[in-house]
Amino acid sequence: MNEQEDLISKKELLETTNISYGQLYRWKRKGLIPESWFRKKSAFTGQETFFPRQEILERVERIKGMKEDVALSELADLLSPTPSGDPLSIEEITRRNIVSQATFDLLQEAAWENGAPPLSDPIPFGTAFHAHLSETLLGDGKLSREEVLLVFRTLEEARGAERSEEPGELVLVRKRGVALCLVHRGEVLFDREARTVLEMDLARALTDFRWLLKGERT
Amino acid sequence: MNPNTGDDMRIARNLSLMGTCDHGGGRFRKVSIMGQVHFQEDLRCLSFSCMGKAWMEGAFRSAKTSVMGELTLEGPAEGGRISVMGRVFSGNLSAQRLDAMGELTIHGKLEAEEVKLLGRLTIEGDCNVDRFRSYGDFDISGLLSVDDLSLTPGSRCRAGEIGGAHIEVRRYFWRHGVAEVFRALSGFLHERRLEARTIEGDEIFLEDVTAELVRGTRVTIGKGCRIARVEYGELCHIHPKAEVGESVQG
Repeated sequence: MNEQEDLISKKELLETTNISYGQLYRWKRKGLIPESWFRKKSAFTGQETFFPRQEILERVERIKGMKEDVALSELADLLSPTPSGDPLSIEEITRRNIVSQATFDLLQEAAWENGAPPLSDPIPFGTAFHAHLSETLLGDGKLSREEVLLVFRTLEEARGAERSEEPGELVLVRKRGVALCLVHRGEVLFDREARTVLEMDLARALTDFRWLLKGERT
Repeated sequence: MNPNTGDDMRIARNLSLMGTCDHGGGRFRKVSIMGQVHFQEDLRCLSFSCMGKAWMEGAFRSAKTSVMGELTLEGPAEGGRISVMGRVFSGNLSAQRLDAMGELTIHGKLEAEEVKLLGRLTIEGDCNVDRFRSYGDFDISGLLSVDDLSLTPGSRCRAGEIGGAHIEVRRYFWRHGVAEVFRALSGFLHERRLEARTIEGDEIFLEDVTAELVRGTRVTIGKGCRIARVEYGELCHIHPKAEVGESVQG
């Protein structure tokens, strides 16, 4: 959300991560590095390409770590920002402890109270992702149960809207004890009294989730 | 996705059209066109050949495409193995292998595993190809991203940026054969040269290239090059007949 982002130039990136031009261009071609990370800026040699430092370094390390045992196209699926995938059975994800039974019960109960349709089994990929997020948020202990349920509901509704491929950013603000949850794909400003409690890049969380499903520890 | 795996492709029929008509599209095994056809809906087939003129409003998907006439694709297109001897106009195009001896104009992006170019290729967006061989000429407004690029400019070739692992641009040289006579003669009419703003790669060999910036690990600048700035990692050779503004290591 801040204007002054920490950027890294292409040359510096290649030096610090020890990858070649060929690899970088290949990864971009296969969709492992999003196009939006390539930022053109003018420099003394003409135009120069920069990347958001933290994101790109994390991504390159991840690709380097996975490259040996996964094909590039499979890796592209893992890193894809669209929350699409095969439905998952509730039994499997509770057994692997991706979402605990207690969280499921809580979500089920909340759905019942709000008159929303109950969670189906097998559960759609996107819903499983949101349930996993709720699980981690509950574990964090920063948000109350009601707020986590609010987050889950907002995410589900935002997914229903399906307006853009980019999942965007999840924000939860509190003002005088009232919580407001939103998903945005740009920049938002709140008044001074509002406290931002949670900011989460959904694309990155999605990648983490996919990794977890694959049985990899991040 | 491979159109070959289409479940009902086995029972799909062949379609052959002669004369002028509108067609609703659909799924077919083999499509051949000798007249003038306007497809109003999506078309999906295993092989598509066009000797006349075809105009596609919907999406197009085929495992094998050969065009000897003229083909206009307005929707998203996936051509499999494409060979063009006539003319093709399209939006975003993806292919496994593209052999272009005719003329291709793409108002969008080209994605392919392999491209062999003898004719003329114009792309308004980026070009993402694993292997790119060219003896023809091209004009790519965006980025040409390749693993392995090997080309001999047929006349004036242009690309916004070029990036890849192995980049090799060689000057045309005389080989035997009748067709070569015409090729050599056309050299008097057009200057054979590649122009690009920046070229980045691991292994770079250039001849007859104009560029603002060349950046690579091992760089060879050959005859006829006009380069404003060269940045190299390990190695840099510059031919005495090349014009290079400055070269820096780092």
